[in-house]
Amino acid sequence: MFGGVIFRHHTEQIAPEFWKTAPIERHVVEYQYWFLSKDSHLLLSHRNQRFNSKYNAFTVHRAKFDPWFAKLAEDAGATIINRTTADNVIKENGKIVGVKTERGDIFGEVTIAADGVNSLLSKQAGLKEELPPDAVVLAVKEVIGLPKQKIEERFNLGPDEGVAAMLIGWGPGMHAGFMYTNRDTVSLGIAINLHVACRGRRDQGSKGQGNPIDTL
Amino acid sequence: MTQQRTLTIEDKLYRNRYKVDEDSHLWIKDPKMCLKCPFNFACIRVCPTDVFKWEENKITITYDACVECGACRIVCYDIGWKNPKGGFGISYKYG
Repeated sequence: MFGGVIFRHHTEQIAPEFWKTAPIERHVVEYQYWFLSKDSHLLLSHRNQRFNSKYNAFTVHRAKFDPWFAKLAEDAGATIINRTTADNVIKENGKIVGVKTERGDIFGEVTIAADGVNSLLSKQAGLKEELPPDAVVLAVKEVIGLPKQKIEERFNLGPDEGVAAMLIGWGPGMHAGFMYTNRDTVSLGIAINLHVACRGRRDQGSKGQGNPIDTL
Repeated sequence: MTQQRTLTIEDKLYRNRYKVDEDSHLWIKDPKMCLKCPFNFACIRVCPTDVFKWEENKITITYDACVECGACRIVCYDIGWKNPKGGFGISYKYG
């Protein structure tokens, strides 16, 4: 689950010219920054024609992109093991040598925990403490269907061009968000600092800070 | 003529895929602590999918609604949480 975009610069170092075969939605030609208050906004945007030839980033759907990316790893010799949860790390002489799964142990020279900012494995391994609520932002995302042509009309885009937007708001409480144009959907997300969400109310019609999902 | 109605949160969440296991992957470690909750029921406030509810004198958990964001275990150390078994839990159509 992500916003979001895949950046050309980092990804092409692993997969040169990946955009030729990867399932991408649109290539980003415009970055927007929306500064929101209760009833107004300031919009800063950067549109760059060069991004039409020297691609900068691409909007994707992870459910389509990840299997394609995993196939690259497989072609390079990796073994993909699905539907198996790594519950804990295995330590020998203070070194992490693998992971325990419900289907057996897997060993390796290097173990990479790719389970995100809220990594359970890292915590279980004793490598990090639980994050405090004010250090974390909780975001929710909705994928909204919108015909391809409507997206292009509303965002002033050519057939494969896209917009990537960051939203930053105040009122009440600091919040953030994102908006990405995909081929025929728009990804919209709202985020709130968890510390602020703790103070909010979840009852009907709440106008407090509340939970980001109520805002969405 | 098309009729529009506003989707509820439940309608939208229903569009995700959930494979529900027999047992819950999250639990309250010490339910007695909930009676004197030191976190102002943060679990109920932060969970985006209403997993936690206060019923009578305890927290009830609807684990099949869980989107595995982990917010609950950040705001309350009395919540036990592990990843659902392989293949279970939420999966997204778009991601």
